[in-house]
Parts: sequence; structure tokens; C-alpha cells
Amino acid sequence: MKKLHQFLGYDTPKAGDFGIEIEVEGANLPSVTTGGWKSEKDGSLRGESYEYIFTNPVNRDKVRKNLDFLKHKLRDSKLDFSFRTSVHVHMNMHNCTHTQLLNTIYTYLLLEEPFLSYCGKERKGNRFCLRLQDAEGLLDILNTLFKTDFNSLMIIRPDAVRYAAINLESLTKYGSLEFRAMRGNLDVDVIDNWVEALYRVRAFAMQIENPIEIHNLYAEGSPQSFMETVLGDLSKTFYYPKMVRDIQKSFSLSLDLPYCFKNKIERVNENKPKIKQNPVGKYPVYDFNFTRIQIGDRVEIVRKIEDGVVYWPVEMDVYVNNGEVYEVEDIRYDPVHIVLEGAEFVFPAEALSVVAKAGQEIEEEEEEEEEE
Amino acid sequence: MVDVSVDDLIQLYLNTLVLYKNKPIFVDGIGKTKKVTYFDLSTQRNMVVDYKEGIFKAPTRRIGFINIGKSVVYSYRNPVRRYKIGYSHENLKFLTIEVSYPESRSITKERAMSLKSPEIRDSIFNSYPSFETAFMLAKEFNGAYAFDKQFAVCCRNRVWYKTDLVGTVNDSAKTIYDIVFDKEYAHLTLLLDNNYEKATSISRI
Repeated sequence: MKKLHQFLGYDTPKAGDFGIEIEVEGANLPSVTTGGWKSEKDGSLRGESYEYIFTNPVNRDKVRKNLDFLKHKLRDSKLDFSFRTSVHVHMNMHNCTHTQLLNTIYTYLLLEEPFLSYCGKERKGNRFCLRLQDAEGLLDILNTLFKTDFNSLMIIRPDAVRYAAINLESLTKYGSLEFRAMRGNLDVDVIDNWVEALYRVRAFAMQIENPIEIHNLYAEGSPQSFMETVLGDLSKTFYYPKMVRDIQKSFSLSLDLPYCFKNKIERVNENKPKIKQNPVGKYPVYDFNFTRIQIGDRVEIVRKIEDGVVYWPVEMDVYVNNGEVYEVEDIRYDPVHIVLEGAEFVFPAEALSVVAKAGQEIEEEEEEEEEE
Repeated sequence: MVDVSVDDLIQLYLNTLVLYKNKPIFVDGIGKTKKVTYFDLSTQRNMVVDYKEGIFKAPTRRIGFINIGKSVVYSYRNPVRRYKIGYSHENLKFLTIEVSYPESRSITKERAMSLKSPEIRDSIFNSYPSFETAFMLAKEFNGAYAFDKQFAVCCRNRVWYKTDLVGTVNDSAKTIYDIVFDKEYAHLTLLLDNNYEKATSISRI
């Protein structure tokens, strides 16, 4: 199966699990170029401000160390995390197949509400990180992505889905999914928990078969048990009173996605060349006595079939045991029926009895000749 | 948000639909003294208020089907990189569907796009009639009528999910259980069985 890095033209996947951007406004903010960080100016911020960014993606176990470094570096600064600031987490998807990418997106969407609640109540409805229920236009892209393959990533117009809480635009740009929901802050525990939750979503997505299985796993349990399966012991961090209702809502909102995937699978299977166990026109057809019927054989019609499945109008009754012998003109399949020369109807094979194979004389006639 | 300038306010709120005191309003103008003129969708009247931090909220409810002009328009927000807090032409999409529009397709769509009609308020607050009433009105109007944020029925006995034709009903249909979904859309019953966007009774695919 092709992986995202191959689709994007890389020989090997990019190393590292996460990249993080932390936007800060305030005073006495230093420029940082060490400890795995760099600082950049960001036009969306006001006054003295910086965006601190990982210089390179790092493995999961190095995230906390980097966060600790930045926190120490800003210890003398006055930090103001206004509504304009946020923490963006990029999760590397380079090593994922298309289905694993869909699994990650679908699992995240099912848990989007508890995630947003954790990231900050003020983030719900925030125009910089719109949930699926705030901006269902994201489904236009997702439905296509779930119905097709990586190529559909190329139809995403610049900035068209940029402000979704899960930003797909970064997939082709950086090979990552960008999660934009976290409020501006530099609380190492809060950010590290958030990163761990996303890490577990991806780990879950890598091992489950496809979005249909995710749907079924959810269907067989409860919203809470689903979250526990995905996040394990971390799930308690994301509990809140209306969580179950909110996850149900997310399930409804994203219901089209597993069905888009299912339709895609069914379409692919339909287009596959079918391996026929009994290729049409080649499998043997037998008469009432289990004698094989072939074109040119001569047969009698020895019984009426009345099973309610086979087509047998009353007009066909006169052919039964009428003393006539008919030559098999053709054998048609799916369903099997026999075309007899001189008969106005076609007959099921089990109504016939072979009296002579093709090229053979009828035994009775031969006997008569001998007597003569 | 005390440091928000008039320019910021204009960028954030002008010509948008936002919630003020939990009611949808359309912001028509913002003066130099931060006086905001707005149109109240519920009362259909123009009003003025002095801007204060946090008085306007972003709508966190989807729009969905709007029952307007004896027919329906489906509307939703796109997560585009724009700065408006509320609903605006920059971030909303309005779609008509393949049903009849007794008051003209373009005029009906334009009315919805004005963002001032009381019908949009009804959609935001999830105010829809029962299936039976919607079907009766669709027949009476010779148009279409939504009975849910995501579902509408038209006078030709067809049922729509967002912009897709998903099933049919016969003339005597009274409830959502009379809808015959096309095979590909049979799962949508999940969305009708319970709350409009809270499927609780579900089964394996």
C-alpha cells in the first residue's frame, strides 16, 4: 500500500512525530534559536509577539523536553495569551497509508468535542479552529477523500480548510495533520497531554483495519468506552458532564464518512475482474437422470417443474411426455435453460432426459433396424 | 478583548450574522465611536448598541436547510482562512437542490443570502415542522419543505439529505418511518430515529 511520503515524492518518511507552534503576545519576549526552537513574527498577533516553532519534528518522547526548554527560556517574560494566540500541533503522517490517514481523521472527529473542551471552552466556535459542527464544509473535502485516494488531497484549494480545527492543507505541504484547537498557553502538562492524546489517536488508527471498523467499534460499545479504547488511561483527562451527548453528535455529523469508504470498497470490488468458479458456458449441465446435456444431444421432456422458481407457464405442459424427441440447439446459463429445436419454449435441464448423445443414433431405432 | 480597535471590529463583525443576547443579528454598520447598528432577525427591526467586549458571539449552531420562498436552500460554513467571527458571504455556502422553486430559484437563494430573513433564525434554532406538516406544505406550495436541519421533502414525493436525493415517500406518508431510502442511503434512518444530529441507536455496517 502506498504511503503518504511516497505519494508526496519522498523516498523515505520524514523523521519525528510532532512539530509544535506556540503563539505568544506579551513583553520582554526573547528571540529563540536553540533547544530545538526558532522564533518568527506572526502577522495575526498584536504588539510584542512571537511564534515559537520547533525547528524540526521530534519524536514523541522529546516533546516534553522541548517544552520545558522554552518555558525556561521565557521565564523572565510577561506572557499574554490573548484570544489571538494558540498552540498548533503538527502530527507527522508521512508513514501512513491512505486508510490509516482516514482512520486518524475519523477517530479524531468522533472525539473532537471532548478534545475541544480540553483545549479551551473559548475555542468552541473560534474562527481559527472551527469544529466540524461549526463548519461542516470540511465534509465536502472529507467525503471525497474517503471515497477516493491520496490524489484528492490535491484538490484542496489554498486556505479553503485552513481554519478547521483539523487542518488537512498541511498534508501536502508538510506531510502532517495540523491540530489547531489548543488555546494559547505554555503549560507543559496541558500541551504534553494534548500531544499524547493525538499520538494515541494515530497509534489506534495505525492498527485498526479501516473506518468501517471504527464505526463498528463505536456502534458496539458506548461513546465513553470508545474513547477509553482509543485513549486508554488518558481518557479521564477528557471527561466532562455532557461528553456522551457531544460525542453522539460528532458521530452523527461524521456518519457519511465510513459509508463513503464502504461505497468505495464496494466499487473497487465490483470493478475487479471476477474469478468465476464456473465460467459461463463451460460448466456441465445435467438432466433429470444426472446425464450431462450437451449441444446436439437429443432429449425428451419427462417432467414438469413446479417449484415456483423456474419459469413454467401452463402452455409448456403439452411438451411433457408427448413422445417427441428434441435436439438440444443451445444451452444458456445464469440461469440454466435449454433451447430445443422445434420447441417454442426453453426448458430447465432437470425437466429433460437425454435419449441420445450428439452423433449417436437413438438405441431404440437401432434395435428396430436390427429386427428388420 | 479590550484592545480591539474600530478597524478590528469592522474586520471581525461588519456584514456578519452573529449572536447578541443569544439572538441572531446582522451587523450593518460600525461607527468610529464603536456604535454598532444591526438588524434583529427575530423582530425584523434595525437597532443600535454600543460595542462592549464579548457582547457578540460566534454562532455555534449549524444553519442547514432554510425553509424559504416555498422551497429550501441548504447552507453551511466553510473553514476558510477569513477573519469574520460570524456567518458571512465569505465563509458560507448556499446551495439550491433539484426541486421546484415557486418564487424562482435565484430570488429564493438571494433572500437566503441576505442573512436577514427570519427563516434563517428558525434554521439556526433548529425550528422545523414535523414530517407530516412539511410534506403537506411542500405539496401545497408545489415546492419543498425541510423537516430537519439535514432533511427535506418535495412535492414530487422525493426526500433529500443535504443536497442528495436519498429516498421517496408515497402520497399517504405521515411520519419519517414512511420514508423509503435508496439502498445506498439506508443508514440515514439513524439520523432520523433520534435527535436531528444525535444518533444513539446504531448498528454495524
